Amino acid sequence: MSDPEVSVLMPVWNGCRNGSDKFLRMSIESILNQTFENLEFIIVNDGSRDGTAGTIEEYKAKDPRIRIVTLPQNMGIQKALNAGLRECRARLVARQDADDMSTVTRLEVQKKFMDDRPATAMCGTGMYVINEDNKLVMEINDRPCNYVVVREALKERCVFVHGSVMFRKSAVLDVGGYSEEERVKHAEDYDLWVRLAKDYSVENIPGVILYFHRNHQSKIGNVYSAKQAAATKLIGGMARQTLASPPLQKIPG
Amino acid sequence: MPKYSVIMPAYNRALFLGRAVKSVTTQDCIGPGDIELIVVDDGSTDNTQDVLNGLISSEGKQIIRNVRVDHVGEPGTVRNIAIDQASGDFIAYCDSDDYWLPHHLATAGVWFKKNPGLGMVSNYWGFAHFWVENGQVRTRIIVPPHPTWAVNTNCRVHRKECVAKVGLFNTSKWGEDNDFFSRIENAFPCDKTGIVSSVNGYIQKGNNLTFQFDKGVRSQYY
Repeated sequence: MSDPEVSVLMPVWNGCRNGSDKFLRMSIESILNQTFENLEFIIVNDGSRDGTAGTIEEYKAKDPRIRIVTLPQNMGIQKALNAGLRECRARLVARQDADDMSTVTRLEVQKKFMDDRPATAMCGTGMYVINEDNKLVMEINDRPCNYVVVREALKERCVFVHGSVMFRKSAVLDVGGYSEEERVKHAEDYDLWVRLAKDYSVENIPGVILYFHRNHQSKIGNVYSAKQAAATKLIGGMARQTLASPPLQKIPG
Repeated sequence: MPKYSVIMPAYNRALFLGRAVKSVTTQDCIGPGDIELIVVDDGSTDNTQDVLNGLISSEGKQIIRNVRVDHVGEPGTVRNIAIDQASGDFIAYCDSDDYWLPHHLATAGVWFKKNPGLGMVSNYWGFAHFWVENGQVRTRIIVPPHPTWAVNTNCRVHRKECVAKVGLFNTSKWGEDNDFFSRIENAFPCDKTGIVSSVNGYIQKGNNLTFQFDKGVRSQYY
């Protein structure tokens, strides 16, 4: 097989919910079913203690595009993401969360967008929110798209859906990858986008190409929401300083 | 020869037609030569024809075909007129008051590619209230009120050769779709993707926000 053009990066920690790996399976299959096929799928098992390892090994046996990175213990999403990022061989990296689904056209649309815009370091998209029965609950497609507007908006809030982004690996490594600092935990994505947006163009594609399971982001949604809000506030403050001066308009390597 | 023939009956749909047509012509990852849209205007008395001709100039003559017939009022009969003219390998349906999400055809395409023996693939649909405000169509997605409402006509993509085996739609004013698609399901292996890829609307009357499904005007709901 030729070298992959897109690496899909998915960390997973205890991907089964109430003993069922249904959502983990839907997430993995949504990548294996992509119309864009020349990809590698890096699944980082972040010390799961449920049935996650068995499920991902089962898919790996069926599809050679999957590679599994097994961490010896639960290291947290930031270290898991950086460990996975080191394994990514393609120049373009797409994030996938273990309880979201990508529409089948997601990678083809995003890769074309990135190919058409060599100066863009990252693109995100809107999302459909679905419930546990895969019924459509709402469509969220109100995020700013243009770099100038995005950069300004990042001073106030995170305007990217983490599981929807595709970025150039070289640009993310240039700004140091994901921060492993405790204080940005649960908002590590927002922290990275701010550092990336400082000198690189980052955009949202108008339109929606990701499904988001509203009831299954429970780890963030329930337990850590206060911590996430605090981290977001902290990063917002840092963002207003980081993004105060005009961008250097770097071109990704 | 196009890969997909999309069938869209329209009766007095001037207001909604643009959104429906554009949702078909802007499908992601489908080449312009791989799709034809056959709009059958069932004798509309509003300016559906003007709107359609405008769309044909903006979206491309080679993609959209305009078929105008005297008013029939039977959804099946109107769809049969389009099936007769379809030249694609696959037939899909988008009613003129509803719309597809951009991954609809590509999703079915992935399933047919994985399993070439399938006769029909069905996606899921989302549910919305549509209303008109200052001449613009507005949409509000809501969770379907009935748990079994997951698949309908707009979700279906089947091989054209299915029609040769099971025949056309019957001429009933309602229920014609269930009859037709269950004949395909009985004759061919079929699969459901479980993925929402179209939105169906029910039009609100006035300011009343409660769900209304007026069977008396069912013949207009296509």
